[in-house]
Amino acid sequence: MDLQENNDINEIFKRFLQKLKCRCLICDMKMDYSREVAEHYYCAIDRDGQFNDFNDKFIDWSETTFKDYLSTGDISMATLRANYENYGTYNVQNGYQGLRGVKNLYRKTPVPWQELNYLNLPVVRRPGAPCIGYTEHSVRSLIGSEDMSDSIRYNQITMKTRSSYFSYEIWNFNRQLWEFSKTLLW
Amino acid sequence: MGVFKNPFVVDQRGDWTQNWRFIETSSSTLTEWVKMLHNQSNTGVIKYFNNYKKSLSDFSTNLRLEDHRFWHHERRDGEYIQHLLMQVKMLNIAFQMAYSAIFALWHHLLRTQADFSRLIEKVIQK
Repeated sequence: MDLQENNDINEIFKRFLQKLKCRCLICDMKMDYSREVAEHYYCAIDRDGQFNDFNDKFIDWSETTFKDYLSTGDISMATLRANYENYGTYNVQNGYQGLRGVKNLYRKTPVPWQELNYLNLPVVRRPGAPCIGYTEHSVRSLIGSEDMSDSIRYNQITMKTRSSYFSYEIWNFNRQLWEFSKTLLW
Repeated sequence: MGVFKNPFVVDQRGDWTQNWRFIETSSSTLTEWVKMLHNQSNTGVIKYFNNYKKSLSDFSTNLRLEDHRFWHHERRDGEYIQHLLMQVKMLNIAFQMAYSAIFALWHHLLRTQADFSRLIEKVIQK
């Protein structure tokens, strides 16, 4: 589908408005004016008090900069995440085989990434083992011979190769228009 | 449908959903990255509301809805009432948009705070 078509832009924003209809008990879902408003045309009055010969659309998104927002065609947040997990060899691919095991990794101040549900950081993958991730601990006696090299790579992926950056980016997309309409579907 | 804007790529229709190099090559710190993301997205959302508000204002101005004498003089009272009713519906939609935005932001804030508090608990226990 060519998203540059003006009709598509208006259609998408019409659907967006439709998702905003009130679902509270007071309105009893009767106050759904979204389609009527999105498709409304009216005949404006000129300076001389005469009605125009043509109709104006109440709101025409094709004349705004919101064309930029129609970025990626049909794509969901889950697909974006899967694409990121598939990019390079940094992360365990949850959609493929999932996490099959974890290796302990010493860190002075371990962070319980798996408990930060909303941040939902991709799981860093151990080299040569596509389904093995890491779990952090701070017990010095458990430090293994591979911990030093693993730790350097792990830090690079978490910070330098930007898994954390990706998580914040996905968060941000969720806060943009796409998600704040979806959230109303409680 | 992807109705969002990636502030870090120029070509929104490019292959950025497959090629995440723009993240790898960024020289920003995480804090700077988060600030940039939010600044640009907030601008976009505000622009969305402003567009709607401007359309509402144009509707009222173009139809002289503030000037009831004009409509009475034209003997179009019925049509005038229809326009006013439509304006109420438009305002209702504006309210729904603001309501859903606030709802989503509270939800976001709650879950962010929950993550943050878990992190604080773990760090303090160490």
